[in-house]
Amino acid sequence: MSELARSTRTIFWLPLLTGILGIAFVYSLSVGPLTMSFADLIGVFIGQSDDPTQFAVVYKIRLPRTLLAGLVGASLSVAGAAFQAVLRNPLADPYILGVSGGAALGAVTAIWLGFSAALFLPGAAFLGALAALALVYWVAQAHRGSSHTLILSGVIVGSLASALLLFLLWLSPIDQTRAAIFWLTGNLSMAEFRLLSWITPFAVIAFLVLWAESRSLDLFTQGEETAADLGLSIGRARLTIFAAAGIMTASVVSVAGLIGFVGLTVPHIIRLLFGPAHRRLLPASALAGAAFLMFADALSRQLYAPAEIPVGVVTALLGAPFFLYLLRLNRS
Amino acid sequence: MTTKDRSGHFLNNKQTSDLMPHRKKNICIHIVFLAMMGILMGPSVCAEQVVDALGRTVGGESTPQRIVSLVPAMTEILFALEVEDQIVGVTSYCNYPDPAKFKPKIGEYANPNLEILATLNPDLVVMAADASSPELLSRLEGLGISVYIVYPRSVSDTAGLIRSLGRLLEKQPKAEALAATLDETAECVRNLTSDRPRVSVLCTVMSKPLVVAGGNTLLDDMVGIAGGDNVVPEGINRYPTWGIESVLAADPEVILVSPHPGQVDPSAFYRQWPELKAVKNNRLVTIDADWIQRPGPRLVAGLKALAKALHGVSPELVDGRCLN
Repeated sequence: MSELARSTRTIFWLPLLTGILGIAFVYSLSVGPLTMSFADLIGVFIGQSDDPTQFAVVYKIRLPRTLLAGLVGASLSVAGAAFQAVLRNPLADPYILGVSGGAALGAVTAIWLGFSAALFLPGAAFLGALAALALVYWVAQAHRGSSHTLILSGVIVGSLASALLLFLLWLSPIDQTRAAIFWLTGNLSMAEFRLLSWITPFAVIAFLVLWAESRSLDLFTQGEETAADLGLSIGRARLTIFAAAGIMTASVVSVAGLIGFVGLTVPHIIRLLFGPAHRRLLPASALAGAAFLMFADALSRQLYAPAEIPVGVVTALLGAPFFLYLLRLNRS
Repeated sequence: MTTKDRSGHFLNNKQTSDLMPHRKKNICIHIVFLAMMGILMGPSVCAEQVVDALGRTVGGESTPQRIVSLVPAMTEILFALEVEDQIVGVTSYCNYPDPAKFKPKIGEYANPNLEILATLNPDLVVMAADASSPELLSRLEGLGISVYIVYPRSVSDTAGLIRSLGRLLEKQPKAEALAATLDETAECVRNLTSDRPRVSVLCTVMSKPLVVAGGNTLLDDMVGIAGGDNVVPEGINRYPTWGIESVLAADPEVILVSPHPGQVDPSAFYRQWPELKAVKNNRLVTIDADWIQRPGPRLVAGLKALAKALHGVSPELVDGRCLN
């Protein structure tokens, strides 16, 4: 446990993070190009507003978007924490095993074929991500191979997907290229309740599976040999964790594109603040990741309103300095 | 600074022409003199020098005979100026008028194939300031090719551009007629709509992502002339990306949806939002994108279509007032 974690009253993580999440939720609901007072917002929620535009903005735009930001932020953070533990690699993020490349290739193929409407795009991205994961697992024999082989084959499959992706972009006319780049940089504007209902089950089940494997994740951080000595069935545990974290990432990437930084840094920040035990790290990362992405997305809508800036820019600009500060604090 | 390369093209910037105001005349006298001596082969007509969108001076020698257009709108202007036979290359987006489709293609406007371009041996390349890179410009200059850069963002820019190209290509009368029609149509549409209440308008460029036209764009100018107010404020980006909430907040009376062929029609996207005034009142307007987004002669048709869409002014009325 880090110095910082020891000095933090770790017992307070749940109320603290829940409180922050609540603040981020309310903040995200209350900002946007349409000017609405807090009283208006309350009015809409208790059914006292007769302005159909306010009603539509809150229920059809801000609420699904805020919930999607929360779900995506939580999923990426939890998947990141799991990958970092099982690969024993602090640089691991949810995209490390080729998921991002596969999803991107699937999405851009759909855009290129002209199937950008409705559920085609997320569907294609999801299939692409699963195909990439399956290929990586098969090549690296995930249940018995080493984690180095896994990372390597993930990187290579990712590169292969990027190469095909660049070729497709080169084939595409300019409009499609802009649509593809917009998707690749990640955004939450596709938020709709039907998309939420589609990915929520994946995220919830994958989270519960990973949480149940908390003890295995703790053991993995001790090294695989130690873990095996302590009675862990390495192959089974690793396959379970990979499958859960991979599907979790694939489902959120399919609706939100590639939002960087959240999955890499939120688990580190939580580990520094509240310690490395996964029973606490996973739910704490979920709460913090959700709050972080809600906050970042709200800022991306607010800073240059009525225009929107890519949320990935905001996550990196907000998160990187804070992360560096924590690293420095932890060293001293 | 003046560079003279082996093939004899002059590329000099504005400063030079300010410092040496008689330069053009001198060259002409020089060329005429050489022609009289029977040394110079080829055309001895002397085209005028014109200043392009970057302030560079172009032309001043013989009239360009081998032109490559990297801009679909400029291809339209060149065809309208009746220099079809001098056009040796166009982009794969140059689809109007029909004969343009059969001209040799040099790729896309952002990154044309330099090898094909050089093989065509052009003596003038027309390219857009915002679509082509400075690197491309310096590569072309390095190959000794004259480059004319255009950056029209309004109807009057477009008319000025037509006149400049007319001077450069020795087609002044034709250019003057085209430009005058455009100017007069704009003036006429402005007069016909000026006493009517302004209509708030959102111009959609594409729907996925939702890209809209902001200030300092041709669309913004066109809408203004036709008695509309663009709801997109002037910002850092001329074509910003918006979320749907911004559209609901601005709630324009008219939404212009002009999909290019092959693009997804944004109407279906907007119809999901019955809260929008424009959807409620059925004022999602589709006008051929090339009539209002391409700074060329077809803006005349675009202006009439906009006047009709925003204020119900019939094209015949515009014609009757302007072409009296």
